[in-house]
Amino acid sequence: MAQPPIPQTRPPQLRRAVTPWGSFSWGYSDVGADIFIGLGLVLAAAAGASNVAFLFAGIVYVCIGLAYTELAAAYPFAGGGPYFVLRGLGDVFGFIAGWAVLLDFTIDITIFAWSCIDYSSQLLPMLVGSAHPWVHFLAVLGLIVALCFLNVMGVRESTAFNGIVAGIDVLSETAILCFGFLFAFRPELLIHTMQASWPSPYHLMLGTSLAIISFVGLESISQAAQETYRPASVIPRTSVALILTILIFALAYSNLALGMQPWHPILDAHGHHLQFWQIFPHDQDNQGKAVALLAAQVPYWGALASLYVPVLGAILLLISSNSGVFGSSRIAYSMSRADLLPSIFQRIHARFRTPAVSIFAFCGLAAVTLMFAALPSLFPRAMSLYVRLFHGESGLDFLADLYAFGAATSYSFVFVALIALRLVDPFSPRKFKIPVNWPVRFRGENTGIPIIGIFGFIGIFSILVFTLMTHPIGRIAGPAWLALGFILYLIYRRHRGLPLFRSQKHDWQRHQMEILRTSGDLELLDQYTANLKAAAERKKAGA
Amino acid sequence: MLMLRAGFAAGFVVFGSIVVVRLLAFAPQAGFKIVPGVVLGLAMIGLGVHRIALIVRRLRNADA
Repeated sequence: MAQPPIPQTRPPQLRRAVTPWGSFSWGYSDVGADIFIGLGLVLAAAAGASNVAFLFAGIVYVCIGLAYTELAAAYPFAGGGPYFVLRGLGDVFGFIAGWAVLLDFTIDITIFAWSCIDYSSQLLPMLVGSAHPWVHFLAVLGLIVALCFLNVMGVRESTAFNGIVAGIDVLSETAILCFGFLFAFRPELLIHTMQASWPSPYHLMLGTSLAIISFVGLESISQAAQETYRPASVIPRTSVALILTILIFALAYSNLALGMQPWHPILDAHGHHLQFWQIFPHDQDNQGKAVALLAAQVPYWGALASLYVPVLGAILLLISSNSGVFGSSRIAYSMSRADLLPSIFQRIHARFRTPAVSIFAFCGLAAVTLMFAALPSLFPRAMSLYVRLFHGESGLDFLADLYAFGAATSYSFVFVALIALRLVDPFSPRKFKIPVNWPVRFRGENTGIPIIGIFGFIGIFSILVFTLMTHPIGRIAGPAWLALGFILYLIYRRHRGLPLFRSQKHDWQRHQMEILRTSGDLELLDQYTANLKAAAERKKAGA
Repeated sequence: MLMLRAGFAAGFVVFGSIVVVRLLAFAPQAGFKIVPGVVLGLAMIGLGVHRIALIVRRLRNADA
């Protein structure tokens, strides 16, 4: 993430071979899986206002997506949010943002592996968490261990595989939603549900903070940037499609879930008819596989969907869990290269040439969070402790708490970095610029403050506040994770004799030229050089 | 392939319009509660129009 020293012989570079569809599918396989987890949790928390929770989080997500698109197209380097924050705000904030992303990626490993087993349980009842907690726990742990060793050996799903799964999933979800809206959606039922089951402000805030987890994974846009040919042209095109597709699916599922007339009657224990969304509150098994349950209730297509959606969902969730292993190890590796983390995270396995220490460290951490999440179901006596300390949150809630906290924290920093980079680096050509800007003059250069960025920051910051207010575990474990990391950062920097609260010297201009040169966007490199020259001449003339 | 993609994009526009129209019919009694559904319809229309614009641009470039 920091600029690498420019050596005499050029080091091996990532090959730029990702096509527009590859770029889309890379992002989709990361973000697209989130709704498979988020839907059930939000329906359980926000009830009749679930679609409002998704709308609020979705609007914030559109702002975040636009920010990532601008930054990834301007700085096509595989460092993601922490890299943008490091460039815009310096080492300390770069570390905090990176540490928050590491929390997210670690939880990502556990929560997606957990949900992958939940979706599989739709076809394999012996994996149902409430009935067989030990089998469920061991299956999730087995997945994490398997992903860990596959990543150490360097086996990773290819872009082509991602593309096929993403393509099938987009078609499948489109079919489910088309059949659902054509044959089962009743607008009058949606309005009735919203009026009759409107939640308390507390639950609406809880639902909104959970809805943001349906939109996590935009790091992949910038991760893919370094392997995309001419990223400044391709990324804005694919990002807009990705942002709209994810937003549509999230809003469509939530509206459909609230206004759907189930194909088969759903009855409670006393034989009373239930609406579809009512099967989620207080049922952790259902929350973990909401999309599969909804698909099965869609007329006509549901007969087929009930068989393949659990499998498709499990595959997509497994890919996302794997991207957590891959992402956490790579971000720790790049943070270590930037002197933000100890050099042990740079250690490469002698045979497989992968960052094995990072992979083992974060998979180990994921296993620890899994144990904490599964504790109440494995040992019912531990439940009383959870009830006393954490309002009796379930395992999936615990993971979602931390996931929402990490996402809201890192996204908040990205918005600030976006605004800071507009001010401190007006020279980098931005082929995609967020619309609606307030023109300002800063250090003698004309630039613009993105108004949408400011609104986005207010939105994501309010979601961060909702998370702290409504998540009993998130408000303790999230800040504790940041505080612990910051203490380790200070100890490490002191040990290395590096500035504690200031940044090291970075030659960002040289680094930017290297990025643009390798990206294939040579006209942007010319433009950048011309901008720098013109600024130097203006400065000279002014002096 | 391009025609298939154009068909999908047009489908999104039509489907989005249907969702908007169906929900707007309930505007008088539902008020702001139709907003999430209307935004869904508008996002569908937006995605369809975005895809169609890309296809048209590609066809124009091919002609040039």
